[in-house]
Amino acid sequence: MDDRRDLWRMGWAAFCLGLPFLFVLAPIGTFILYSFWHNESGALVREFTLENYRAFFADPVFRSIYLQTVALCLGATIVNLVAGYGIALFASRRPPRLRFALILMFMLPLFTSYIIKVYAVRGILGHRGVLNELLIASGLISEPITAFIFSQSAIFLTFIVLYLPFAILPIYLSIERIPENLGTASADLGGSQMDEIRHIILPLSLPGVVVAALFNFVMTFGDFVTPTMVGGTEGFTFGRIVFSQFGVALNWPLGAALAVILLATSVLAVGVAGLAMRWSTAR
Amino acid sequence: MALTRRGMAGMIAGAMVTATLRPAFAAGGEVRMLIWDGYADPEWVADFEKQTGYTVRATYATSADEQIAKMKASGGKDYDIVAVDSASIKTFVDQKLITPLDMARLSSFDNLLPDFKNFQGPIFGGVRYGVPLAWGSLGLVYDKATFPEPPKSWAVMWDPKYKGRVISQDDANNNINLGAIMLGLDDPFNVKPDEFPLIRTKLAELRGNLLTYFAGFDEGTTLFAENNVVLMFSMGELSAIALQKKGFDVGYAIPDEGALGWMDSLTLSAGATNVDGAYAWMNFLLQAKYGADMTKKFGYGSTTSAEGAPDYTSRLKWAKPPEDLAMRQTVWNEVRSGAN
Amino acid sequence: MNQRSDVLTLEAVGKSFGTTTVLRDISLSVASNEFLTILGPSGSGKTTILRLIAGFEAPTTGRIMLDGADISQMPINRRPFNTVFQDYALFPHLSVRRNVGYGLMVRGVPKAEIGPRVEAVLAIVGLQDYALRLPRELSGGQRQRVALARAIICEPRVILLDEPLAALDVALRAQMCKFLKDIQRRLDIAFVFITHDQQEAIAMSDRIVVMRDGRIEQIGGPEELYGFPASRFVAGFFGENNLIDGVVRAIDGARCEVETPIGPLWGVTCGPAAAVGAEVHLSIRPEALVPGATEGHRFLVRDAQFAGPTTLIEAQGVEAPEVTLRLRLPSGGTRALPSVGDVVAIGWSEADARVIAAEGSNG
Repeated sequence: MDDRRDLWRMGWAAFCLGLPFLFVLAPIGTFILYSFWHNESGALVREFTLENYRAFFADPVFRSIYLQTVALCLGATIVNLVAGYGIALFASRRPPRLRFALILMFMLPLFTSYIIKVYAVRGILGHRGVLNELLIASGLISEPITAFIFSQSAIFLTFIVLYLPFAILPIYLSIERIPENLGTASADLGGSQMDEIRHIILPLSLPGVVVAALFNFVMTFGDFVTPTMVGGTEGFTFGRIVFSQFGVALNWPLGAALAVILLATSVLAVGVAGLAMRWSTAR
Repeated sequence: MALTRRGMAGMIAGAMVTATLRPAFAAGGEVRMLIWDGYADPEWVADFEKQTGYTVRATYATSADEQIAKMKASGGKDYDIVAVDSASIKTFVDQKLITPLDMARLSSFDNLLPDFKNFQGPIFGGVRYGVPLAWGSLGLVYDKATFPEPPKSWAVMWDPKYKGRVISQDDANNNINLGAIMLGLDDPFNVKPDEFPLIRTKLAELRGNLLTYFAGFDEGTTLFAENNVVLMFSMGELSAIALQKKGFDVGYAIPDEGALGWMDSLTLSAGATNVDGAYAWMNFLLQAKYGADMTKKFGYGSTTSAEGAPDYTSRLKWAKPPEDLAMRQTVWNEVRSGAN
Repeated sequence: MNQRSDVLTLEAVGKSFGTTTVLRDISLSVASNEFLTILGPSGSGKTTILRLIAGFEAPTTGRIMLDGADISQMPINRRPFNTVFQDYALFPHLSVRRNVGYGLMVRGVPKAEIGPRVEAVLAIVGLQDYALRLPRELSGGQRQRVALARAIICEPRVILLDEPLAALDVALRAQMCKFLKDIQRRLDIAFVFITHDQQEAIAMSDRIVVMRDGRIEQIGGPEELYGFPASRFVAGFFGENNLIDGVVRAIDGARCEVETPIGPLWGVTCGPAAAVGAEVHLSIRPEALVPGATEGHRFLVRDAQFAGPTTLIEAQGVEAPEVTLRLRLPSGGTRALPSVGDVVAIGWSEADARVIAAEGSNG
């Protein structure tokens, strides 16, 4: 019996360690390896080279798209943090039942497929979309407004719709975890609601904010479908460039190098987020 | 992946039978085929099995890359027949995945319409590796209310009059091909280094006139339908058919500059184990009767029957492997990024 | 009580949550420099009183008065009271310094002023050297002191303490009792202290409010409650009192004659007047019993427990075995202590026998 249990335990440990290795570390390791090889007339040459990285830094297209994408994703992340924080804070101050209903309502989009949501946004913002139809029907405009969609701002808006739940949830959970009596103590010591939010809730929910920021930045940064679908001719982001190297140009080493840069950017974001956590305590 | 039309036929024709079809008797054995949607209709297969005693097993691929991967995995031993597109056939030959055809055994070759008998795509070093089966084009879909007459030139897409009402494919290779055709280059599949900047400029100008790019067949028709679009650099005849089915009054034109054409040929796998069965299928399928049925059912152009077929084959530029895919991607990235 | 000036008064305060009434008719006042303890078992409503005073809850009925003005609806942050929470409720992300300075900061006191005041208060609670620590880097007793410092720095009129010693171990608790009492004297402000521990209450309080089922059972000084409990509940709360059941036979002013299993006994009424025929208890403190008395009832010593300065004797009635008495005798007294197995006569002074009304339940 004991032997069997040990076997189980070992099997479980192997599973727990093996799964991330198999599905996370191994693929990452593979494309890091690829990024140091190169393609020669369609065939893979397995020799160490920094050529792919040099290509990234030398190519003005790669660089400017990279920076544009970082700016776009940072912007969407910041908007979602502010909006997500407001919603999470509002919900956390409602009675428990209403709180649950509110959070559930905001989480509902997570239950639908990503692609359906993008189509839904397009159905609303499109030239023959709900928004334009409504505006035309109301007589406010006679021609559909084309600026709603197929532009950078449409990407921005769609990012906000798609990723807002990923901002609300971690923030809400971290606010929820703050003991209620800390707020009571703040008021007891003469603090206003604003004092409580600023000095108690905000710093103590910072871990949630950091996680939300990470989710939003990393997910928007890697999302190449939304820009393609709603960005129109401006919908060209770094994720799209990475994708094109794999799917179209069949230049896997260059694609891998660009993916490493994408990954490095995300890791950098995690690092910055980690530093941000330090602000939460004050001696 | 030169032309991205794979899978569209399935969407139009409905669910395909992909399972193995076996009658009770199996006299001649199994013919295994690596093909595209619409190339082994269950009715034809039933006829074939009844007439010959062979059984058919069809495997459907969604891209040429997938085909190559599947073929390489077994050295071709898993398949007897492969349906290869004209842009990829050179790779198949170079990698020795397919083998020359024995014309003496290909009795149906005479059934081909003259244009396709002379098609040079599957011929390498004077040796024929494939027999053309189906074809199509990447033409211009236009709104008939806006254009009572089919546009004569691709230049209409650049016309500022239609700014924001034009959509185009988001595909490096097809766009460079389009640019090359617009510039009137002799061989759009062999662009010279000094011609790339001209193409880039041309495509950058187009970018300014577009509503958006689209990726994928469905996405193209959806965008067209939702946004008052009047012109589309389409993914094929089926785009127009799909829009017509949705109730849009659109036409399909091949402008005078010409357009990209794709041509699929049936080839014999280098690892074929049932060579007799493979020739039997080729001889069976390449009959006007089945060609006409294919056009009717799936909208593909047939090589054996002109029934219901369009008249623009002479203006098509049959796709070939491009000179430098990486270069095309770089140029396309520049266009897309708006860096010009 | 002419010197007494009340800072805080509760007038017939009641509190209900939905259909559940947790407080009824609470009337009490707190003098400006008084250490008032609200004592009661859990569920007796004592914490609710504190929450009403602090403003965390609003009373359903009645009024809360500060210096004669109704503050029942005043927001928490305007009330000149500060609370020491049961679990301290220290801000985990702020250092001791910032926790203590919080009340001043939110009131807009200039930074230059906050620093010295924090240091002064930390000196009072003996935590000068811990200013930069985070709460999690402190012991339980130290956190307790931070909580107190955080409350007193705001110079409140009343400090409210919600079972602040409950989380501490016994030794530390005794030490903190003395410490709290000292601080209260030094600051000369009112402390309202909530506890379920009668020893803490006796050790620190000027007055004790005994709570039971949402009502005040008795208010009085520690000695009064200990010596003269008004009810069996209060007597039981203060622990060791001997209770002899009986029925009132005769009444003579404040004196009653009670028929008990060991015969008729006289006692003094201290609660509501008893009527003839009423069921009562005679309550006698263990240290009021005298063994070896000439007049007395015969008891068999069953147990003797040495407890340092005193020894606790348990004795059973010889004629009435259902009566058991506990005696607390000085361990090193002039007379030898009775031993187990001895039969002794036990007597007491009539004034030490209190007559308490009997009741169905004993709370």
